[in-house]
Amino acid sequence: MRTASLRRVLRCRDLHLRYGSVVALDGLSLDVEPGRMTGFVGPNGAGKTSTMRIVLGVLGADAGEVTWNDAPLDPAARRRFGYMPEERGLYPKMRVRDQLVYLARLHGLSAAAAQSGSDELLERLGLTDRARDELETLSLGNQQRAQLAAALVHRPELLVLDEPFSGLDPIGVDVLSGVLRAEVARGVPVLFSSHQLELVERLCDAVAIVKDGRIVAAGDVEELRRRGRERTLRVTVETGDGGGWLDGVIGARTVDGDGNGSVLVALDEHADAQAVLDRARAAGPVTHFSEVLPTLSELFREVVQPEPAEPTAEEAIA
Amino acid sequence: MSARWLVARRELIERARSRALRVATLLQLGLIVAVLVISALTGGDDDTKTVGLVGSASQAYAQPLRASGPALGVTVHLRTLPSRAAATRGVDDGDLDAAVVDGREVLVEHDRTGTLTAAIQSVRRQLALRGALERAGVPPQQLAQALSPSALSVRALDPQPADQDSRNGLAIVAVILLYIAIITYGMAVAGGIVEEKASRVIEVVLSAIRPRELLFGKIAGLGALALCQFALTIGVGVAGALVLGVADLPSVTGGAAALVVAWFLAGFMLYACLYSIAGALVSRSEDLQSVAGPLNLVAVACYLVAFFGVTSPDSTLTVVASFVPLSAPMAMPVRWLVGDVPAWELVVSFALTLLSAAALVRLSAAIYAGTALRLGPRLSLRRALAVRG
Repeated sequence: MRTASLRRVLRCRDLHLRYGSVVALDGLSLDVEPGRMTGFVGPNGAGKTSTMRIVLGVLGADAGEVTWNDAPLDPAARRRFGYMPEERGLYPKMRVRDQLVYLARLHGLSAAAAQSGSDELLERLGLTDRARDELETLSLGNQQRAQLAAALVHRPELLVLDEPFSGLDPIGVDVLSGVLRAEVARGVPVLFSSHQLELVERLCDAVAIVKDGRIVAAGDVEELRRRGRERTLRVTVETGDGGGWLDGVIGARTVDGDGNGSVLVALDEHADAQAVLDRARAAGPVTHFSEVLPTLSELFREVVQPEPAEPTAEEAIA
Repeated sequence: MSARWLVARRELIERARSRALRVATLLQLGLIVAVLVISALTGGDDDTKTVGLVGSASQAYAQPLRASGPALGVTVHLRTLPSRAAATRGVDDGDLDAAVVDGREVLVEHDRTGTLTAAIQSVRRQLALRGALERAGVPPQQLAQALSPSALSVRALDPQPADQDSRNGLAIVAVILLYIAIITYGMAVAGGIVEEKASRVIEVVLSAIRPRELLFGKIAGLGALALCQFALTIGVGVAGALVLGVADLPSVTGGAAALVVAWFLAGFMLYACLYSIAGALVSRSEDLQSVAGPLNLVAVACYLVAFFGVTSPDSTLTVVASFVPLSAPMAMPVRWLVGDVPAWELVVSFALTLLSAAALVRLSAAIYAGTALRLGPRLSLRRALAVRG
């Protein structure tokens, strides 16, 4: 416990927020841990932006608590956070470097540290030759880089980014992914929201799914994909005729087949996947053998949709 | 460095960098210099009058006309001309202000004020009287006494300082400058607030500092810039007036300039708070005009009352306006410059303005904090007050 309290962890506990009669947050709790990239996903209006604004202190919660290193958040701690709001924007007529230095100083850096930090980051993001230009003269892509720089320039201890990938071209996505990975490697907890679930699945170590102002699923991405499910294998035997070859393997049963030799096999806790493989090889040449996990998108639909829609073949096995 | 100071410095530097501000400053200075030069040129003309004399009968007018100069407030130059035609030409060209032909006729280009003509007519009466008395055999000594008696002593019941004209002029310049500076920089505060919302940079800034720090920093930075511009304008004006010798600058000039600057600061604070509330209610530049419109009208009304106060500093309207906080920053300097205002009135009026500014600072900060992140249609003042805190 002692070591845990020294780690830089952001905890939101039981956040409540109302806008008039609309409930935005309804007891939301969320942990963002260092050395991990946490994806924050949920339908529009689920409460992602509100949560992030509360963490950054630009919005006050009606109830609940946000702690940083197990201490209630104060303005001094928040000043060391980095934030990219969903509504992007910097001063259009201010020069890029001046802007970064200014923001770094607002976050408490000395003049010298703000200047060297800005120069370093501009270099890293390939904006050095635009440093003295007014922001509005930059291309959209470069403006997005400048926005990222504004969130990073004071070397924040925590990064919160609201839809950072929206509107980025593939190269922009790569740049941003690389920068975020570097921040995580530096030990910075990173929380970002996104609707691009494939991206979240690829980048994030942890994910929190929010719906109607509450977290409905959270934790390690791999764990979430396995949790509460039977193990499922997809096996293709070239000369197979459905799943007849599986008969007699303990704890295994065919749940679906396409008639061309490809079958889905559900395993219970006693089953041995290698035994399934042996039996399949005995039946004919095996061209495909893999564990089937739901994608994050599938997981998302499961936990977010109130009524499960017409189940697809792969979801039906869950 | 505190957040407020950083914000103030950014406002100062970024505004000063803008071309619009430099152009406006140069225009304002150019205007001041132009006014000074024009008044120097036109002012010089009125100091001398040249009168042409045609024929020997007119020569008798020379000495009495020259003597009447001080009463007219001018120096009279005389020129002898050979013919009526030459006199006509001289008057036509503007070389002569008037000509007396053969002691019987006066030529003038136009006779708007009639003072010079009246002076000539009066000389004519004086000459006729002298001739009549000489013919009646009055001894020369008695004649001289009768024609130039010792002057009457004059006692003004409502004496005006010798520099009254200069003081009125200064008051007019001061009220115009105060009005321009207050409304320009008040709108700059509102515009800056809206710009931060429209460009969405507001959320980035507010994730680092508090709304109150941003608002106060902005007002302080713009106020400092306004003060520089205001002081520069006044400095150029005073220096120009001295160099060109336009106005008999009253001995109060130094104090008057300091007073006007102090009133500018108080007025700017008051109006900046009001304009910041206007800015807090909207999030798009297009909407700002409609919200700031009524405020602009109030400022214009206060300006007009103060402006006409120059000619009626003791009227009830001007006196009342010099105490009402919104109009006091313009009306009180006018009264002070033009008339005699007891010091206590000045102090009370200044204190009232500062107190209302202090109250408005709190209100505007509360409204701003509640609305800084609201984007969308314009809010009513009532709703803005409801979301505060």
